[in-house]
Amino acid sequence: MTRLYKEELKRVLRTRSTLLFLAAAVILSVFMAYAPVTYVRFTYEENGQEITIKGREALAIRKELQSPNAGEVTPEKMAEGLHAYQKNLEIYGDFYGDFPRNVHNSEIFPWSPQVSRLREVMADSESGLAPDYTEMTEEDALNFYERCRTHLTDLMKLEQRKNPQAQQIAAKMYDKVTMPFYYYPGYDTNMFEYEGIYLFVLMFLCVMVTAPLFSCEYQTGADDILRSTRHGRRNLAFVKILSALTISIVMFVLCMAIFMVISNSLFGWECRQTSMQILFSAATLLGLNMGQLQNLVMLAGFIALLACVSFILFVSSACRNTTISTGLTIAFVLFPSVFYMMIGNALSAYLRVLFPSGALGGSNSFSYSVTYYFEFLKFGSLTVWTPWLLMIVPAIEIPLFLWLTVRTYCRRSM
Amino acid sequence: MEITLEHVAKHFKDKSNKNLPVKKAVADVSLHLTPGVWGLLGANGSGKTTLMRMICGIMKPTSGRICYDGVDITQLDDAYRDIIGYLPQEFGFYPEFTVQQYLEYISALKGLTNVQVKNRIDELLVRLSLDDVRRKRIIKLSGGMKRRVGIAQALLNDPEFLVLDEPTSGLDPGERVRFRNLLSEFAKDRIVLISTHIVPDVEYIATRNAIMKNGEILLTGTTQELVSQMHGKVFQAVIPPQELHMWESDPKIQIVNLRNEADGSICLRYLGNPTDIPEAEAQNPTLEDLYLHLK
Repeated sequence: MTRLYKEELKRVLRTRSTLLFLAAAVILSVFMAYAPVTYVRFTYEENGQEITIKGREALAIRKELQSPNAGEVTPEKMAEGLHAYQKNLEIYGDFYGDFPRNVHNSEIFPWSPQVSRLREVMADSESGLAPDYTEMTEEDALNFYERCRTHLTDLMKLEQRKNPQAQQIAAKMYDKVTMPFYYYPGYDTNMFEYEGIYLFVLMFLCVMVTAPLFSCEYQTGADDILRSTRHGRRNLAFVKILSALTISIVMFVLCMAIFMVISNSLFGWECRQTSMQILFSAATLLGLNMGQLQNLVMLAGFIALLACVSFILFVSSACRNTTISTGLTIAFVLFPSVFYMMIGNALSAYLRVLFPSGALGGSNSFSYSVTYYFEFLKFGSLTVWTPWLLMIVPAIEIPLFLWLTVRTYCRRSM
Repeated sequence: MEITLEHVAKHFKDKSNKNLPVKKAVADVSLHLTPGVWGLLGANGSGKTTLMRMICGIMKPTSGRICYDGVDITQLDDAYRDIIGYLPQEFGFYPEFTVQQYLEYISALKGLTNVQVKNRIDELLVRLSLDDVRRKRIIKLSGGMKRRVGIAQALLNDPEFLVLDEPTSGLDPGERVRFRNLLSEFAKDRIVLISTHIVPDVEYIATRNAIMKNGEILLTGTTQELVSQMHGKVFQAVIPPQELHMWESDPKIQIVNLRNEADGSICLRYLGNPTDIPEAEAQNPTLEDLYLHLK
């Protein structure tokens, strides 16, 4: 069996398309890890002219300006930040008019992550609208963490009005969120989004490697010879599954390692200590810092990737040629993203949870669910937070699809 | 060692039209295969390939059973597949393989040990004149060479029971002779089952033959036994060319061969009676005559 496994692995790795997809995965890991840095901008004024710098240089300046406020987000710092905002607004009016660029860079920008969260939690409980900076008080800033809890309660009443169970679950989850929050400048939400996008790309490349594994045999007619050999049935099916999983896992580990090392090195490893509540929403339900969140998204992506590979192995074992298996692979992989984006109703929310690729893609993805949405799904009297389902359901599907693959392959043409 | 087929049948449903009756690809076949070369003769579509796939355990019979030394092959499972070598009609292979890589892959599937593999592959490549192309991709080889690679994979595990479906298609006359000799040598104490519609391929080497038509075995026996049934039924006559059309449309005779003579006349070999064509002479029958007679 070990020899057969090695032979099958060698065979798949000799295939030109596999090598192409592998190379594409590695190249894209570098490109997509680097791309978010290119979006970083910093504009300043010199001799009456606005100058914009981009990329790593801009990132370095931004980090330098915000670094004095790095570390624990204390209510006192919050109040200091609010004071800086209000003092400058009093002098220069609103931010949109003739507010001096360099004053903004030196007085406002260093506090913007903290003060924007304060503004978020002070939003009106009925309308959800955030107040003006001048409407907030020092007391509000000093009560920031109490306001966070109140804000979550208000938000859940707006988002999950008809589902009190969801409101209770959210409150319980938020009780576990570690406070105070931490902030280390540099981390960019683009970087986080690119991690999600790259996971989808990686999954796509892995399933493209997997799609012809069984169907290619049927198409070339190699199947009859293989089935008439000692290990040509169940053992071959196991070995094919094992080789597909091996390649996918190695691709994942290698490419994500490249991606993580490059992106974190560019933005700064210390940024991983930033609380996700500071970067996304003060009311996000998980008590994780960005490093832990990166790892959690990777884990969810890994589970989804294995579920997709397992599902596509099953599809491949049931298709008579590679064109059909590849076509179905593309359709199945894209369906949850497209359907969720275009329809966006309750049905699409349930469907994407059922689809193995549901946790990856665009707005349907795990990374979006865990950071931006407060989505819960109901199953009778049971309410579950959607991101957990996006991890649990694919995990259950992995053995199911692998079993179906072996069964379909062994029973084919019998 | 024996392979026994007991009332084996295979029916297919037309999935696109359920109203159509079930197609009987193989109908109630009973056969007792003993060591030696067996020729399975039949026209295209007579059910040979389906029967062979069932014998190899690739396809399950709708009814009946196939036994190896009295034990159902479904019970033997991989132990049965250990003793067989199979070359299907369509020799499929992974396009990325070289000859050597392909044989190494199949030997892993056949459970050969590392020590066995190298010697066995070297031996077969030399025997099948493939040594020079061992590092060439199979897809780049000629039809005959591909066929030989197919035969090599079937022989890798030194099978007790070798099943070859139309093995000579694509081989040139020289390769055919070499292939026949190889099989005759190989078949000692083993069962070799060759399906073909090219009668001369099995006529000289088959110990016994089975003739198949419409999914049924019509006759079995040694070549001599089968040929003897045609004694007094094969004739040759020389006719003027203008009579050819008349004899071709005569339902009493079946023309099996035509030869243009140097003087412009035509020499006919036909199945029928001596009186059908004046001055016809009796001929020694061949297996092909019987095959065409039954066809």
